Amino acid sequence: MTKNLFLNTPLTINLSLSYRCNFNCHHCYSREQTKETELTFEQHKKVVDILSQWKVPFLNLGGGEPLIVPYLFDYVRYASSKGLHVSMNSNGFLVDKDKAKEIKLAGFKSVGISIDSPYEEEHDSFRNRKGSFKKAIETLQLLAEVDVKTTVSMVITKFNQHNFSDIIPLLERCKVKQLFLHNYKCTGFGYKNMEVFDLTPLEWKDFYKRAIELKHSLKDIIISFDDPIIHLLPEYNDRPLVKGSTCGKLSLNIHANGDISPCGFMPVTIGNILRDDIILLWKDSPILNTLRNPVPQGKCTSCGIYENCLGGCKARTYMLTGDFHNPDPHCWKGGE
Amino acid sequence: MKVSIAEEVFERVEEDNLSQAEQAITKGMYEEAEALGVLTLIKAGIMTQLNLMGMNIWNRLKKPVTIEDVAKDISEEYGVNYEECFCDISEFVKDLLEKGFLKND
Repeated sequence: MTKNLFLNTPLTINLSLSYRCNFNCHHCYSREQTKETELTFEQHKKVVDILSQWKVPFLNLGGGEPLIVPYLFDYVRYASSKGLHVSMNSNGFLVDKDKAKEIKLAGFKSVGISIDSPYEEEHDSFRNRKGSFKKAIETLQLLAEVDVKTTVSMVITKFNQHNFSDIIPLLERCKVKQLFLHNYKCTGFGYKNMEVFDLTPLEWKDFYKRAIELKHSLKDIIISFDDPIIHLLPEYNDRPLVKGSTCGKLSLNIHANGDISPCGFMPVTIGNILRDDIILLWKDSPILNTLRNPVPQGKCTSCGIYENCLGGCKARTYMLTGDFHNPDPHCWKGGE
Repeated sequence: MKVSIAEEVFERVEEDNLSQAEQAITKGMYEEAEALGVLTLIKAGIMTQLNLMGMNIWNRLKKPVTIEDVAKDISEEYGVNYEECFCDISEFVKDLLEKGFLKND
């Protein structure tokens, strides 16, 4: 009576209201998209109407820095009134006591704050902004005071791969319940700077082994990953919602100009939310169907655990090899 | 045995799948109907889908009933053996308890 998953519409939409940002991070995937046209507030409300009509439950705002958008709180109130559960990812720099209260009142279900190192100097250097670490911590505390659920996102790089676990006491102090350890995305500045920041496949393997060990040792903080290749490790026993990448299977990404892509890190457009019939796209888009039906190539053809990862992260694979079906360049199999 | 829906479970009816399943039933294509997930359940990063029968049972569990009551009603409604029905529903409930969608009362 329980079935294999097939969704009529996405469960999560990751949406950018704007790509403008008060930061200029070395790994930013979207910094070069700031020249894109942005939908107006009225047009973004129309997007909400469409999502509500599809019964999409979860809307996650990214960008760009969402708190830069002048109509953010009106937008979130509108989306919440239409039944959407709204969350956002922020660098936390623009939050003070009043803003924290506004976040609560607008109806945000949770707020994710980016912290890329347990250490101030390292974080400020990576985020290219002095004072950003202290401000991020203060924001977590302010949000806890007004009872807004918080999570922390950390992008794993060469610089934090060995000390990432030192952040746990800090999260405990700030009442953070979930830590997302993101694989390094080779898109935008992330692509340009990958030689400096990205780990080698064997370093990824070693990192994931240690991160899983940490995950199993914690009681009050959930550690989550977004990298399908983690399923190559037998010690990782989480049951995934879907096999392989979730992009185009559970979620879609909507750009600030309304363009739709399978994920924010994939420079591929499948349509536009205000122009195209999104239900038809979800069902029939050739790109989404390619992502949903991967064909093993190269070393994946002889891998006994291909069914666990389905070739890994499709955004990274596409960016680095130009073909969704190629093996994920972060995969360590065959190189051990 | 009494169970109820756990807190913070999100549910969404997959309308297209539901109408396909209902059509399949009217045509007597029971296996096709059984294969379609019509209700999506999500809780704390865990997700599952139920077919038409699963959704039927799930909706009954929203009221204070025992598994025995549900099995009795379903066996009468569908004209199937009570013991067999009770075993199937117990398995289904056990799975949803393990995934955190149901809680023991």
